[in-house]
Amino acid sequence: MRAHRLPHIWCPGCGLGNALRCYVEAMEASDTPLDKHVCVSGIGCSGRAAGYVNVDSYHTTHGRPIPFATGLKLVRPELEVTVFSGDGDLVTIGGNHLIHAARRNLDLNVLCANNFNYGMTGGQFGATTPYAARTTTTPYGNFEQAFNLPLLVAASGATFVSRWTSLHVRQLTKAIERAFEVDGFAFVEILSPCPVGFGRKNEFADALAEMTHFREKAIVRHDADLREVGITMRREDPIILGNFVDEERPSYFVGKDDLLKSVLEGRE
Amino acid sequence: MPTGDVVVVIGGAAGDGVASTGQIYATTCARNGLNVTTYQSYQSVIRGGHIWFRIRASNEKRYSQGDDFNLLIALDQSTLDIHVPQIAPPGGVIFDPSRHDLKEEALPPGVSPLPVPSQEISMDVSGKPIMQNTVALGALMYILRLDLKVLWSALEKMFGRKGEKVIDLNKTASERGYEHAQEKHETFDFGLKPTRESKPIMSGNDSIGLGAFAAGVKLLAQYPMTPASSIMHWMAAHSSKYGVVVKQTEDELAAMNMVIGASFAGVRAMTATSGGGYSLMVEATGLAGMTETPAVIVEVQRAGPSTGLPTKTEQGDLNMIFGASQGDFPRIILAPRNPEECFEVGWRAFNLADVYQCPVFILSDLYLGEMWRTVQPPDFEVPIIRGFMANGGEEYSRYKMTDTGISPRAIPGQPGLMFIAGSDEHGESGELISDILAGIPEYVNVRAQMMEKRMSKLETAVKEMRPPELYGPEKAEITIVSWGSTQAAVRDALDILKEEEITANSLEFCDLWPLRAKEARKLLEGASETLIAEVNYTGQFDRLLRVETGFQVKHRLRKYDGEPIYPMEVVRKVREVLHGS
Repeated sequence: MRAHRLPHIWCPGCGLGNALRCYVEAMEASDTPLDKHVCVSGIGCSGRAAGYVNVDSYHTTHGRPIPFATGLKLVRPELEVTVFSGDGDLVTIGGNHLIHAARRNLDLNVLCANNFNYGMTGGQFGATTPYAARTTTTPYGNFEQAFNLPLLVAASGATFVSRWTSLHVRQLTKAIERAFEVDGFAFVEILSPCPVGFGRKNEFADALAEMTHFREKAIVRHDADLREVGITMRREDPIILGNFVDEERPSYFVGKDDLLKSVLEGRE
Repeated sequence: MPTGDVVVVIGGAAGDGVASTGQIYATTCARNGLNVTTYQSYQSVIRGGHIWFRIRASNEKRYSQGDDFNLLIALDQSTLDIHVPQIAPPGGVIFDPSRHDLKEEALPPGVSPLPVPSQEISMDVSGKPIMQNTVALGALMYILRLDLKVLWSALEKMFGRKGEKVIDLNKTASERGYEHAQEKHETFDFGLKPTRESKPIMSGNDSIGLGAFAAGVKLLAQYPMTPASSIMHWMAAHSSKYGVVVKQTEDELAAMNMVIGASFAGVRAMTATSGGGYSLMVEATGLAGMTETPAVIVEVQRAGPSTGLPTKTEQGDLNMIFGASQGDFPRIILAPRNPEECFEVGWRAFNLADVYQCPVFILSDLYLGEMWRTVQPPDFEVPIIRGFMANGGEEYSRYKMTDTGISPRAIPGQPGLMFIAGSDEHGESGELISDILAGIPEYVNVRAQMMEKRMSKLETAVKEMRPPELYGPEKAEITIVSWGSTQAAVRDALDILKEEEITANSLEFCDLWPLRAKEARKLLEGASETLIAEVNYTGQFDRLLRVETGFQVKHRLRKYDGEPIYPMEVVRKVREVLHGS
């Protein structure tokens, strides 16, 4: 951590501090030395993470951390490249990059803090905001449906897909460690309370109310049918967590090397 | 000597309620019939950081936030530490001595400490500390000799939705603050003359939204971006009442393309963003140009490049807007100078877009977009001009050659008026010529003719554009050129210069493109001395003006530190130009 940058700018009750801590602890626990870790973030509340970690870090433009990280990893495969950003950045404006990165199965780690809205710019809705939820730009409730992120990313071809909340610090840290280990695209969704932007507009009066909801409604089910893990943030509905996908699948580099080798051998 | 002009700064940490306290005070002044201008300085919409809100209230109309301030309301320690030494006498600082520490030696001469036990009073009234800002505002009313009842009407407006009880507690809290000040402090005579004529108060962003509503806009597609987001918030909040679709999109590419789709379908459509978001709209802007589809784009500039300074102002995107997208095509650029003009360009843009069937830009900036100012009540009876629409009869050609270059528009679904609108080059009927026909001599001509048809629309449009306004005495020692929101600093500078017996006038541009170059040149050539003030590094308008008029403005004042130009900066530059000091 870059201690002189603290205290961080996140609101009281925000889950990003926990999420960042889990990421830092996972880095410390990993076999990769810290100077081989790289943190890439986008724009938004979570985008500030790159400024707090004491590893090489890059704070990119809005929605573009994944293509930036892709370029980095392609030319420096020995580095452990992690994208730490938010749902608005990675899934809404950057959604196209996310699915293509998962399809490509390049060995990147994407930690996606999902707080169901755009916190920094004033609490607008995004592609993860549940149907009927209220935000600054959905004053009558959200007319649109939200992405089910584990299903989306798994369907696009990711090797590792996981979801925890910022309360599940031990499981989350372990999931991030696993993300470092797997050879291929790893995606960890981190459900994170946003009392100021999302909670208070949606029957979670304060930070504690949203965390209590996470605690009480969390069900760990690693083998869940991913079609059924969408999140409504309605009081009565469960929040399904787990390490849903952890598969051996040739990563981009493996696939590239194999193909190149066979093609070049064929020419000889 | 009372000047009838006082600036109050309210400062605190983000989350202390600085903005709402400032808005209540600004509304109170407007309801007292005073002229109000404001300027907000903040770092981030997330909690944290030091923010302050400047509110100027005056008997005469003022344009800018002013250079100095007289009264400070400190809601945190940083405000005392940072701003106390800047207070201009006669003045004072309202603070709560039980919470914060005022170092008396930091007070400039003629500036008084005005301690108010806001937290204690708030606890006493409501059992919570949350009304301390209201207590401070009550004290401010006494100190400024303003009627407490007018503050109450502003509190009712602000807290109306929270119910009677909250309003009543706030009223009591403010009354207790007023009484405390009455007992312990003296009033200040700034010569403010309240009247019964309450004035409307609007920000530049809200005014653009209101202008668009007046023009009958039916779709806003936008992606959140500071400082343009409040246009979407305001329009979303009023959308069902006015029957407007407000669509927040997944990114700016989608927003701009949705606007083109809606406009193609026949309704008035707009988007709003800042520079970084507009970068993503550049491709689609060319589509609107090529297909001759009307589109209104509001670009509220902030300091770039890249993410830049999201909460700071600049006039640095003119070059981008002027040259955005590949190839040549007609576009219109309007840069409103103040919130009243924001309303006006808000509806004018739609008429221009419909008549000339091209993208129209409203180029505002953070300073103007977030500036709350008292305005003349807007007139909603605005002309609606939909332009040249096809009405059937002979065989229809969407891109028919005409004297003005403007072709008859049709809307999908009109019988007999079927057409193709393509992003490829096309002939009069809309049939694409890019594939099997390109290069064949006849179609080489078609390409040239279509380019000439589209570009010739600007020759008609320029006659409708407004020439620059020369404000102030016709003959002056110096003419100060500006565009957009920089009007505020220049106009207030003219008043200060007048007191110094320097005659200056202001040559202001709102309609930037197509430029009324002939009129501009005549006015510039008639000036004794010329100075141009703009908020960017390279002098983007300075260059455009030179290229179009052949006239080089002699002196320049450029700013690119994220802050707007202040009146005294203009005054100092004028002194330097005229007297060398």
